Amino acid sequence: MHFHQMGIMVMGEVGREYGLVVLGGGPAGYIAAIRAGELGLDVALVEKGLLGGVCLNSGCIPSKMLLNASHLVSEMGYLSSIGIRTSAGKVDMKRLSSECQRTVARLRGGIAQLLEKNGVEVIEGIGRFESSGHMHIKEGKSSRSIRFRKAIVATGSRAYVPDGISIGGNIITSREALFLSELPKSVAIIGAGYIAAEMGTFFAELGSKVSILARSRLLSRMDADLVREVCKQENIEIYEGCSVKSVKGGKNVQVAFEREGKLGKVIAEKVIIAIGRLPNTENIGLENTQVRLDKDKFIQADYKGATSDPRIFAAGDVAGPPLLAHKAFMQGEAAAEAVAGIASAGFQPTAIPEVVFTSPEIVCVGVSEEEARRKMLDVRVVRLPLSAVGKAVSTNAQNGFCKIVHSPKGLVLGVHMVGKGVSELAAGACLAVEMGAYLDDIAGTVHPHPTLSECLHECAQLGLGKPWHYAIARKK
Amino acid sequence: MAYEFRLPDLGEGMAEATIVKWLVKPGDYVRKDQPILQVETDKAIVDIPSPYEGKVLSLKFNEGDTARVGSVLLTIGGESAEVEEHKTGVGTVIGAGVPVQAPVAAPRVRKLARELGVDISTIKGSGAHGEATEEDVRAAASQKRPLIKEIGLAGEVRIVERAGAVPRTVRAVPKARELAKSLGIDISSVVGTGPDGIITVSDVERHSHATERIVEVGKLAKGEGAGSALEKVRHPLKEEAGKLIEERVPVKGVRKAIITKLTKSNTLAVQATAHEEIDVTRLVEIRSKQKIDAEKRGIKLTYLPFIIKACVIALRRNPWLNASLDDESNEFVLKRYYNIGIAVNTDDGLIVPVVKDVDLKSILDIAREIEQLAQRARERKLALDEVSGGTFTISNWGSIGGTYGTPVLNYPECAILGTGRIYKKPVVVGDRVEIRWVMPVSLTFDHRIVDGAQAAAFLMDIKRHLEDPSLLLVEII
Repeated sequence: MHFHQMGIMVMGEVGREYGLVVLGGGPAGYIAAIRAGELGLDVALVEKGLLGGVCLNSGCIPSKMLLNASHLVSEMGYLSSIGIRTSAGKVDMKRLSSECQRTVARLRGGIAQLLEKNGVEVIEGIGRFESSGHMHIKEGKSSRSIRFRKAIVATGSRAYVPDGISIGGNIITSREALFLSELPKSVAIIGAGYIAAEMGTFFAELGSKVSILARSRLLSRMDADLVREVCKQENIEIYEGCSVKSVKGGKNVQVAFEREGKLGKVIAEKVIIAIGRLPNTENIGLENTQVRLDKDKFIQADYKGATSDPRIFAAGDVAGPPLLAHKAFMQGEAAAEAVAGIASAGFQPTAIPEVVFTSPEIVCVGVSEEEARRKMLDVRVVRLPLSAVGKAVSTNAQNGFCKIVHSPKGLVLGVHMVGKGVSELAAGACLAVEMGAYLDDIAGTVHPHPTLSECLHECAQLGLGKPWHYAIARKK
Repeated sequence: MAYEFRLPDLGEGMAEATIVKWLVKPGDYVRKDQPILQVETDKAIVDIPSPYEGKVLSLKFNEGDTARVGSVLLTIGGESAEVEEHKTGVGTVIGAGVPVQAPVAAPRVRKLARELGVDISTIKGSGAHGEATEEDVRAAASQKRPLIKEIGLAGEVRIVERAGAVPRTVRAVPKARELAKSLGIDISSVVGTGPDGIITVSDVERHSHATERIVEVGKLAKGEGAGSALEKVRHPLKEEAGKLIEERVPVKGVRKAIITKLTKSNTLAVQATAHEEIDVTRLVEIRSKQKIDAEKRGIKLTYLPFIIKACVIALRRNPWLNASLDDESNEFVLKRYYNIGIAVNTDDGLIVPVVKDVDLKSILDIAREIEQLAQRARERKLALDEVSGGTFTISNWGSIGGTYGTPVLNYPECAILGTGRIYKKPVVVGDRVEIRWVMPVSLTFDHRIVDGAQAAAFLMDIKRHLEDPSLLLVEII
């Protein structure tokens, strides 16, 4: 027997050490595990709940299923206006919830399969760092300790609930709002972000009376003229600039607030708290490692996901805002590649797009008009109403517009859209910004007719002063 | 607008190249990808194509000059780079004065920058709109060597820190720091071999030793002495009574690469050599039979492909011999591919072309490839990837003559096998003395990576497969 072979045998007897342990099975965690598996690492993924994280189980995916349904319901009026009379019927929330759960379960099975095919060992349990090289895992009643060479923290985030408000009964977060058994007649939503806006759209489209109590302007990070289109929605009352004083539960919940120095109150069947989200960085033993947190309790991580602990990486919501699944996917990949020692590992995008599935939908990519104004950037903004696009007019999507922010020479810096179905145009806009496209590049690319995507092409044409379907006022 | 074309890194951490021939002159109009000059690197003569289209404005080097990577070779005048501002007709004009930072590069270029450790925001892009291109990133990467040794005009060694270099924390034991200080050595230029790469006293000593050698080599190259030992050889040509008694030859090209490479190998690796005699009587029989068949197919079948096959089998069984030690990350690299370097003697010196993935090739394939590579090596026509990426090397001095020797490691490979002349000698077989064909072999290995026991086991595997070539059959893919 050769010397080195003896060596390998001895190593085998010492015990189980993973090349990589991923803590958390959400978008960042499962992508990190899959990528690491592809790279041939010996990977374990520790998840205390369900694979897929908030995104799949109580976020992006179920909410889009619900919103798709509510968008369809909201088109009933349009259908009847073009000669198709059908009754909207009753909303069976129980059925909707269970269909939603079924879809989510199917997708979850897909993730489990992908992990398995890539050789990832999924451990269902609660993981906690004991050191920078050991993790304690509680699996039901038993528990064990595993060793790892590298770890990726991807424990995600949870809804922030301020002191003085306790979740329960008719006071809920977005998580519970997705799986109600009955449609509430009235809903009050406390919050001003995209979760509040999407929840508002969903319930309003199904016929609930919605009040949104926003501390600032609704969707304040997005251009006001985009948001204005959303605020036109029926059944929604928006109280901007109000500070909530108290939330009292019961059969109907009473929310007291102060606004412009005056007191007011809203009574609703359900109150949804959607104020913000907190990173899940407590109770996972980070204090036993060298990982450092920032003032908002997010893990300090660089573009490769590296933390101040050389053996521990972070990806997804825990690694800091924006808290978006597509950012988490990219960070998960970057962290896995960094762990595998791939030099090119890293996530350094020009723009992280934001899409809000309200009615109409909002897409924000890159520099916005408001940001440009605030920073006095030397840019041009060109804006095209969707009514200039044939497909939009013929499919009840003419409300809204597309806006391109570009440099004086035509470099596309930002694309901002509002309108029915524009979410599917986001990727094209992102590609333009990431690749450093100029208006000429968009104008020189065939955008198939008839599609809504033509709005990007027409907008670029307009920016170049040669629109096809939109008339510029002639100078006299 | 004029583009400056800089000497790119053509691979494997090339530092400089000699301008062999200009293929253009000022005033010529060049197209993109048209070859504009020939340069000679350590390893090959390479045609370099133009990345730009335009008129050649000036050449910055003469033929025969040596240029460092990143230095401007020539300037080319492009089309007017100013894009005429279009009239938008509609739209809002916001603000003024604050120019917008263009995206510095497309995602794939940013990825490359990360891979090569370049801060993309520091690159002045050569793209049509000032964005960085892959070429820009590569050019920047080749300029960015955190710490490099330069041999100055006076032959002194300078440790040069490049702008934008990545600072690294230097970990050293206090005694090593003290020693480095007393020897005038920049501790950050020493490669640490202690736990986690910490610098030990012996690292500093080794470094000091290497530095002295480089100084000496540098001084020799510049025709200057370094201390009493070299005082005698001060002048390029020495004549006595009208008779030329000494000649000075500058160190460059292949010889220079050999000096650098061997010095590095001898400085960093701990080399030990084991010898063995292999009874190749059966191999001689097989080869003399197969040789005729191979000749009909136009292939010259030597013993080397058989030796290579035996080595690959032995490497598979002894993976540490196919490994290297990454001094910087302090990790062993176990390679799962088998690229065998073949030392080829040329007029300029030793060149080592590499036969790639030999485990996947037949003996005849290997024979054909060796012949082609050797031919191209002698003609200096090898491409860079044909002389890089080796995992193990064979030096067959037996084709010229000689029995045992001490091959020097082709750093950072773990081992090198030297094979001597195959000859007849009396050998004890059983209890009788017979006349057998024997081949003496010498294996040098990096004792940092493997110990004698592993090296001996490896050597025994080779021996077994060459003494009984039928075993080779069993192992074929």
